[in-house]
Amino acid sequence: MKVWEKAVMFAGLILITACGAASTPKIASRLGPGHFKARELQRLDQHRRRMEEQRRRLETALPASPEVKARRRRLEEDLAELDRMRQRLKADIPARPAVAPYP
Amino acid sequence: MIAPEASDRRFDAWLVLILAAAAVLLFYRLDQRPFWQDEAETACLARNLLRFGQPLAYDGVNLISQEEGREFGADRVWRWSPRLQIYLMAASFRLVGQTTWAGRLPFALCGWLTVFLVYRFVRRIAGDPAWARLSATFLAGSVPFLLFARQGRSYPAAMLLTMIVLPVLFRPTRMNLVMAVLGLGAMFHLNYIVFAGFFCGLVLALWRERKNIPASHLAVAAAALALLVAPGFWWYRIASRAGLLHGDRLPVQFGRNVVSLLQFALPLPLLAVLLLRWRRRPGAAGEPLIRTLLVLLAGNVLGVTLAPQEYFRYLVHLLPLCAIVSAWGVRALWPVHRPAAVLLGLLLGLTNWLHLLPLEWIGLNRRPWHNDPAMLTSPNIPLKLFWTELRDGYPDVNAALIAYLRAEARPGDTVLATYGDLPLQFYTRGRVLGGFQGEPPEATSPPDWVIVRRRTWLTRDDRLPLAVLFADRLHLDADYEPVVLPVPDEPFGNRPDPYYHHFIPPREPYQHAVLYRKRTRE
Repeated sequence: MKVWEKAVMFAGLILITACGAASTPKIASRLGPGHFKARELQRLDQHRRRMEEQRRRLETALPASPEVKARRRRLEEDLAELDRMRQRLKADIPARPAVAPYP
Repeated sequence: MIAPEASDRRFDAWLVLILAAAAVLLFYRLDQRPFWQDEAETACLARNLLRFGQPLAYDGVNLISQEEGREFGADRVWRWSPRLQIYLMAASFRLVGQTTWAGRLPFALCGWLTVFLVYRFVRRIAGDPAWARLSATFLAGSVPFLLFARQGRSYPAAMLLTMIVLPVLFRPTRMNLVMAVLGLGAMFHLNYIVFAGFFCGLVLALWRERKNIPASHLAVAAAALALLVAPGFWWYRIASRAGLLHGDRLPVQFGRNVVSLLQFALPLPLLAVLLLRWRRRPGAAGEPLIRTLLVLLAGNVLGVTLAPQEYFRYLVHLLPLCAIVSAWGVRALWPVHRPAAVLLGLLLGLTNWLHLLPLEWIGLNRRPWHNDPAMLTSPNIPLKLFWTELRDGYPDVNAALIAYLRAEARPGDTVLATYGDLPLQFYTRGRVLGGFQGEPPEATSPPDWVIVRRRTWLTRDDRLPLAVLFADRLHLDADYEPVVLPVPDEPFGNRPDPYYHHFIPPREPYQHAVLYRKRTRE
């Protein structure tokens, strides 16, 4: 391997290491808590827009067959869960649910 | 690299350490969380096998089905999936008792043996102890491997059989050929979708190595394999599943399979370097072996793409091969640039950054909307997540429902669950309806307990299951009293799929798991 190839390879590995470390939730939220949350919210918002578009299509364009009703129901559930995920991101309450033992 | 004959039988203390660490990761708190739906299916069938001598889907009280009754005929004998995993679990139940730990034990053992066979394969075929140790270490520390190996399902046994078959490609001795035939036959009777994918890859790899294996030997092996496999086509009614295939989904499924493999097993940069070097002859030490493994991987991914649905679990048996390839990358780099080799080893062994970030940068990563940042689909230190869950526990939704019903339900009570019916069947007394059993719950006697899960799963026809329609018709507010449990109502529980497995529970607000108890019970 030539010297410049080794240099490029090593630099690439260091770049991945640095970016990876900065991307982990713990470090990212400390380096730039606002930025980390904003990025996650942006991701959720993109999904929300896509789901809402699906909902509009199901409500207006397609006939109300059992399949369409089923898909609409599941979409509503997913939208509700997505909203809860957004709320969790925005809140800073470190509550941890109790671990339920089972026999 | 050292000549195989000189080194492959020397005792290696590192192997003992690696196997000890693997044992801790595989067996510690193996029963911490109860069976989830798929595992419970195997467990219920195993229990019925012990009770009736056959894996019956109906025991006189409860029906085991996730496909609205497609899994069996009028005789209720299970024919949907091959039975080897059921027999494995039943054997463990017979020896150790019908518990979660016993149910997962034989499969975790398969995973542990796979770590050993990975070491042995590299040590014997390549003669490189360092490469062998790295391969075993990478596999033992792979969190996707650990998640699947700690499951009471076919996946770890499929990994073990992969490593049993593999040597025939590089040392086609009579013994290896016999083991390969037996291993492939067992794989078919374990999971024929995994078998089909692996067989596709094996055919391509055998073509590449054809000069090493006499055609007459292959012909005899093929005939023997056909004898082992042929009865299964009738037992498992495989031809009847043809209607489940969707040709229009193949390109999407293929893409998803490739991305899954790159995200969780074999990082894109390493694969890219290997492909760019493909035409170099002879390549670095061990590189011809790696190229054959890549052909095997590629053929396998193509074969598995033909499955009715795309699941990462159909690729999990390739994790040992990916560990070997990844370890080779570090080993080949060591004499060229030691700091880079160390960094690469740390990245591959301790993080998922090399797997995820390049895919993210080119827009090919897959991270479903419901994934939070503390999952394997985000840059993390996977072993830390895995250990956090083991150490701190997890508020498992199935565990909470099981615990409550075992404490409060009376013998003979009927439970209707829109999903997660099979864990309740295994762990509780009484009749459990719902899920995708396909039989309409009786309308004349409303169930004593109703569990309406947060997420509604649809049937194969994209309709609401009968259990959900029935629950909708019940007057839950008037006739039932809600019991809100302090756990999130997550869809599955201990599902190992990296796209679904949570290591750290969500904070509030979340949808709580809710049971409804009939008010008129005395």
